[in-house]
Amino acid sequence: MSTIPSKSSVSALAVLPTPTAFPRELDGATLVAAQRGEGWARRALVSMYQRRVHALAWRMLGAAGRRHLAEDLVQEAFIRIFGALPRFSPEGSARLSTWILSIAARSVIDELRRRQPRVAPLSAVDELDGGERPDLRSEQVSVGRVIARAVGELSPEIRAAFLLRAYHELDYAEIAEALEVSVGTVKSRLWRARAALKTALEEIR
Amino acid sequence: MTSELDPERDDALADLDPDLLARWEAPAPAEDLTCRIMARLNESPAPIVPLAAPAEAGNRRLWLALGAVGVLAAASLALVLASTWRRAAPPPAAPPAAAVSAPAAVAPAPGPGPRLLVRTVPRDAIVTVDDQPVRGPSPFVVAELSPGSHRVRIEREGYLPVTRTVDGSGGDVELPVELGRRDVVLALHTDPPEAALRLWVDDEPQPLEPGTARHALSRDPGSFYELEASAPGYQSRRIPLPLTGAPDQEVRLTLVPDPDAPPPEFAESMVRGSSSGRRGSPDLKDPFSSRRRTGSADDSADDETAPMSADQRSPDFVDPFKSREDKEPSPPAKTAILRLGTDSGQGPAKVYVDGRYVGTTPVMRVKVVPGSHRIKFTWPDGSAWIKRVIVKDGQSKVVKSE
Repeated sequence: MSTIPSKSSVSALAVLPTPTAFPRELDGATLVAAQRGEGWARRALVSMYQRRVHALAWRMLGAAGRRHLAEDLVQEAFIRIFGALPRFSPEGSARLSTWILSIAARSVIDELRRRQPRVAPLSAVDELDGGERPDLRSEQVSVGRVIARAVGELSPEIRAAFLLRAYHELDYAEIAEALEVSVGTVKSRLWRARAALKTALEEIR
Repeated sequence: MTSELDPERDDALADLDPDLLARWEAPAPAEDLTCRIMARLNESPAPIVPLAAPAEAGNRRLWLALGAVGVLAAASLALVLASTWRRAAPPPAAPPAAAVSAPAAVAPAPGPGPRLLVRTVPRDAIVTVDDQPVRGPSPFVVAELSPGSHRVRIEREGYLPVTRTVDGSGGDVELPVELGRRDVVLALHTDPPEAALRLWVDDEPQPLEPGTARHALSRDPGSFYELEASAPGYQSRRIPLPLTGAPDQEVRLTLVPDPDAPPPEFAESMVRGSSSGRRGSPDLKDPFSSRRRTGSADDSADDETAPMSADQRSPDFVDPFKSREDKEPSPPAKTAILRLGTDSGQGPAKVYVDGRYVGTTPVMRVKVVPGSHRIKFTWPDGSAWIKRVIVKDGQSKVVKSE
């Protein structure tokens, strides 16, 4: 084995790509501490998963995806999550992220059904493109709007199935468990979502 | 709606363009969302390790010593307080049902100031903020930040250090960092196997022992590594070395036959013959000789696909392959190069150049036309980093997410 000489005189920043996925799940010790109610661990859990829960809630709102509404839903979801956390078993079939997204999805569905938010007209939608700056290309904005509108026209249950599959990479069985339906129902919902999305995306082709 | 997919067998969303779906991006939540959630949960703030203000330059050593003692004392006090609080706190219980059904107004987050939460992989790293060591329950290091920017450094023996600048003005800061190994054993394989290999470190060639498949590399912070392979009859290829941070790595590089290469017998006679070879190169035996000069950040000259510029041609040059119908101007040549990568400690990111998906990091090399380009890195958790860069003709520029 040869040894490549080091080049210590280089002053530029390192390029250290890390293709190994950054930890996407809370480690076991922190999870146990969170289940015991230790504040630092609960905070760590929130920090690790809030973006994913927020993204799910925000997209669940579809074309009515306003930031304050999504954050309200995220808070409701985490209250439920921590209420059920002592019952979560790491030895179970679900990963913690899947379990959290499941509770979040059901929580958001309940909230949507309870609140029945009005879908904002397309012209009034101001946060559909991920909070991008106005200098974003109009094409990107319009694609986001089209998808948001199509998703917003789906029922909350179909929306949830679609989003968990398309944006959170849950498999059929995980979605079925998350939404407490059969795998066949998940397939049916996904095919209906697909049909709606295909039709909507035809507009921009 | 008819479909060519089989609902019983195929993924229902398989024919939806993921790049198109990715354009519907969720915004990042508000920076204080964690605090608001914790307030809703009636949580006390996490144990805090106060940080002293940065020392004056003249008394730096004294202040550093005092600061270290203060940090230790404060950490001890915080641990005592935390353990007292844990004993006094009621056992965790499910929140009241009323809290679920009747959302209350969000109270402002309690606590004296923004906090820094550092997650490190591996866990037992040394974390300093403004050169002061920070202690805490690894991998979580919670510190109270004073207003302004702070320099956070994460180190561990055998790993490359990572330095970040954080600003506590906007509230709590979370900093996930995964350290990469300093020493890497590279197992290099080429197709064809006899290809000559050369390692480039910041555009400077480093020798590789011929005939050896495994090479030990001790990485320098800040260096950009590329691997070049060349063999007679094949197009030379130079790629960014995708260092993952793992201790052992396997790299495979496949060369494409060069359609313009002379037949093997002819090539052999050229090598054996005089220096008046195909390109007049005196060192045709060196597979890298026709490639490039070294020691410059401008590496467009090695671009085999770069077209000959007009000023390199004879004034009376007539392109025999250009027909009369070829009146419309050709698109601008991609004569600039962007080397794109994520900074150490960050996970792989999808990269878009001018809205077009170009790949997922680790480091990649993208040819672009000279001019201004918008580069966007997105991570699976929805976060994104955008930068606009201007690159000139023939220039090579490194762009890393921060």
